[in-house]
Amino acid sequence: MAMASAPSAVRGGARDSRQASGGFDWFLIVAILGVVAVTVRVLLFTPMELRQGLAQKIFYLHVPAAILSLYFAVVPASIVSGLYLWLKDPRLDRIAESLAEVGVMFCTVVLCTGPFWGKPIWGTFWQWEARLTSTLFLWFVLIGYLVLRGAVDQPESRARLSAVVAVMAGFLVPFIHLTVYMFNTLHPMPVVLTPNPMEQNLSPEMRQSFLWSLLAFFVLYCALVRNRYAWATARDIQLLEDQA
Amino acid sequence: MYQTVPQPNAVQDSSSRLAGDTTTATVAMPRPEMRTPENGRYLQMGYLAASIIYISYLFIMYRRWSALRSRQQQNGATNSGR
Repeated sequence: MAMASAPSAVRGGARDSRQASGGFDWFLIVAILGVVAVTVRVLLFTPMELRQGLAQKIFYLHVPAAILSLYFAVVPASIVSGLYLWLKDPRLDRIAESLAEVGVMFCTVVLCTGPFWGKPIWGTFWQWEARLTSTLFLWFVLIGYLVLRGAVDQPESRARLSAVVAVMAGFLVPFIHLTVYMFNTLHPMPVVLTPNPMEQNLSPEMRQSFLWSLLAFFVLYCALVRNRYAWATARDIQLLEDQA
Repeated sequence: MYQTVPQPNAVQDSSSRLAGDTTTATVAMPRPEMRTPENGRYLQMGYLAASIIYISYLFIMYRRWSALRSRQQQNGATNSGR
């Protein structure tokens, strides 16, 4: 069975196996340098917020990670997993796996940096309120997705079962997005990416730093997903060679 | 080195809500304790936590590539020895 599906399992593998020989490529290095540069800009050249003080600068780390995790990792992973269930293309499974893993990493950053802002501003590291609790719940679902992938040996079953979990995780994202509107939460409303111009109350310097930060972390996200996908493809090729 | 810019935003609403203020105040009273040196320590801890997570993930990816390359080399050596 595994041998019969071998050609489709490594579709697009020739190009990716060339990437496999490089591992950490120029794109990832440029992305890391971009993140370092934007961190210097945020810490040294961005104005300090008057009332919140230095703790507000966690915003430039926390918010891009949240946007990338929810809207650029979990939602695409969910869509790609849905497409896998329809088309049964192993490349889609590898893309979903890569997106979900990078999404877990960004979601972990969100959950770890938020409390360090919350303690000086709210007076507590954690509150069991809707936004925080639902994000934590999503993190557990994503961890469950990765654990499930590690627990199932048969490739087709693993891809099908994990695709279902990823699709369900995607349904959580609109709910998490709307929690600040639906419930009386502690979590702040959006202050930059909001359709209402009256709510966009960052200073121009802060907005610029935020947008640079978002761009830098987006490039890092693209580099990590690309690298993870290349590794997954090289791994599948290696598994097929081992079986042969 | 730092400039200061007043930024009344929803964040202050949230802090006042925690303090028991259930009104819909748009600008909360400044809380001087937020400007203490401890506040900077939370910034450092936040950046440290994020750095640890990003560097750990990069290290995990590096280890995966290393393991894969060594397996490829082992397979290559086995095949050439046949």
